[in-house]
Amino acid sequence: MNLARIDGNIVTAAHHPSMEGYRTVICQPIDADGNDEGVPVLAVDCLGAGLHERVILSTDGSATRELVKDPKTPLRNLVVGIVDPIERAKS
Amino acid sequence: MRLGTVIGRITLTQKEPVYEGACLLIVQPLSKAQFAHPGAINGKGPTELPLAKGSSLIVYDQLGAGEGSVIGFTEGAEATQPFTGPAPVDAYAACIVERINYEPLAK
Repeated sequence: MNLARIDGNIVTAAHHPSMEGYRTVICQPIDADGNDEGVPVLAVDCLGAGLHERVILSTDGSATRELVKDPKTPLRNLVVGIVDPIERAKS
Repeated sequence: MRLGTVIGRITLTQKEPVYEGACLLIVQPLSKAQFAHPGAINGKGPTELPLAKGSSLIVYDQLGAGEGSVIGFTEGAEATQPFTGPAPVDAYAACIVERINYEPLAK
């Protein structure tokens, strides 16, 4: 699971049947301080995460297959939680 | 799933049965800058920004993406999920993108 920030979403012209009805969001992986790490990835979101909200991103394909109820889905990334303000130990 | 621009197509004479009737695309993954300027979408021609650095890859496509389209593709184990039984496929085109709504957080 990784920390990420929602930086937008995509609209598709054609898609795998299993993606019907699910929102696909653009997730920017970030570190604990909110700095960007790498290139944005796409994920399925069924929690309704808003723009620039911090989320937890899971890369568990089997959980996603169960969620969309299609064992043939090619989807893997899934938004599994919306993050409250992060608490960190002082170093 | 990642986003990439279709920069070419491949046809095969000899192929594994799983590749019958499908298309193979050469795809260049989008760089971060291209998320904001993916000019390839809506038939505006190839992206106005130079292609991202890094290697392109071959993606199995059943949706019919054309050259210049932006697609979302999956890699790894999930790329073989849409097939019945084992399939020698590394990357699978899951969607053709029509619009990207991208607003990176301003620092």
